[in-house]
Amino acid sequence: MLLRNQGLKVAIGPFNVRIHTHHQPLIKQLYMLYSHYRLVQDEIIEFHVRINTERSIRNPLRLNVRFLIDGQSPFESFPEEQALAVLEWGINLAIAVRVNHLLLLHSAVVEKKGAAILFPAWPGSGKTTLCTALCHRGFRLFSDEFGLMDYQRDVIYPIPRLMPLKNESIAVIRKLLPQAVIGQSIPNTHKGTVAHVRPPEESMRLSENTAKARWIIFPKWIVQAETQLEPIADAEAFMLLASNAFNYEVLGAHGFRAVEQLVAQCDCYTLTYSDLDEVTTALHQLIDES
Amino acid sequence: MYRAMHWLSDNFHMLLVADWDGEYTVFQPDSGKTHFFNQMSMDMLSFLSQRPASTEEICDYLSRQSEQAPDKNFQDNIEKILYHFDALGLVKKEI
Repeated sequence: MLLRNQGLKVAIGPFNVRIHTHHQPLIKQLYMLYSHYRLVQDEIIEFHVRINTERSIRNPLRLNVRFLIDGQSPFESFPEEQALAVLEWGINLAIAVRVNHLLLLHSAVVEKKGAAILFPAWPGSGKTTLCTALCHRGFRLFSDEFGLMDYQRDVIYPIPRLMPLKNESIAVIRKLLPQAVIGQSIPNTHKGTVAHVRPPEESMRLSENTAKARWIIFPKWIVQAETQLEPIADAEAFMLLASNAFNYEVLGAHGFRAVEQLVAQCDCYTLTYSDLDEVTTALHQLIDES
Repeated sequence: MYRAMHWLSDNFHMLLVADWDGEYTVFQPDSGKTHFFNQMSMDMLSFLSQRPASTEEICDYLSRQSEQAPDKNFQDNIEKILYHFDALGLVKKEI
């Protein structure tokens, strides 16, 4: 009812989002996957989004869905089966384009013992799969996609969102983590087959607890690679991190100082891996030894 | 009277510099770009912020700083860096 009428208003990390839709299959999926989000009452809403249905022009018998933010449609319509994926991409796009009061890194982030680990990486590096494994094995999920740094307070904000596994990683995670709550597989998207993992309840419950960054680890999944965690020079880490941020150039000198602050306070590594059990052990060890 | 072309740094005082043990990341507000410099590049900019200098003077200074012979190869490399810095707006020519 909420989704159809005034919209579902939920807190997603530091942002409040209002979602409207009449698309029944999407409502059912959101009921399962958004169940741990805090409902928002009388707070300011940053993002007003909507999934509308429409007839395909090419095939009028076919139903498409369209994402709208503040009444504007930033991309084309998609087959209705992809409604959840379209909603999630749309919210990500809104955050990536509109948030400029924080340093916005393209990074998975998890927390352990009060310290955040950033995994900055571009698509295809395996960060969502890695993040899914870690947050079901003793780490708290901040995000599989965004490192949100408040450079004035020197803290990282959690923004736990659904984690979109792609292609082979869906079966890998279903086998490795039978306890994970995973939505239905959505085939034939522009990223292949996608299935969304619900963030663990504990991560959602603590999603207002920020943390200071302590490690920056640049991950790369490589088939059959041994787990290797190699220290990286600070200047190189700086350049990699700056080039990874969505809004580094927009922030100008603030962005430079924010990245400097992060690199100065963190130990920086590159990580190659193929085995999720091994990498989880290696990261627990890294934290225990620090 | 003939005077060799001189170089000087352009708005060196405006640059934001992070020092990572002899490697530097530098933010240039004029262009909004961030650069990665080694010690010699930073020495060059710092030297040119004190006073204009000819290519020969710059080579002489940097060869002493880095304890390298100021041979033709060294001078060619320094000249390349100077023209690159000129293109980036970090140094300018004074004729």
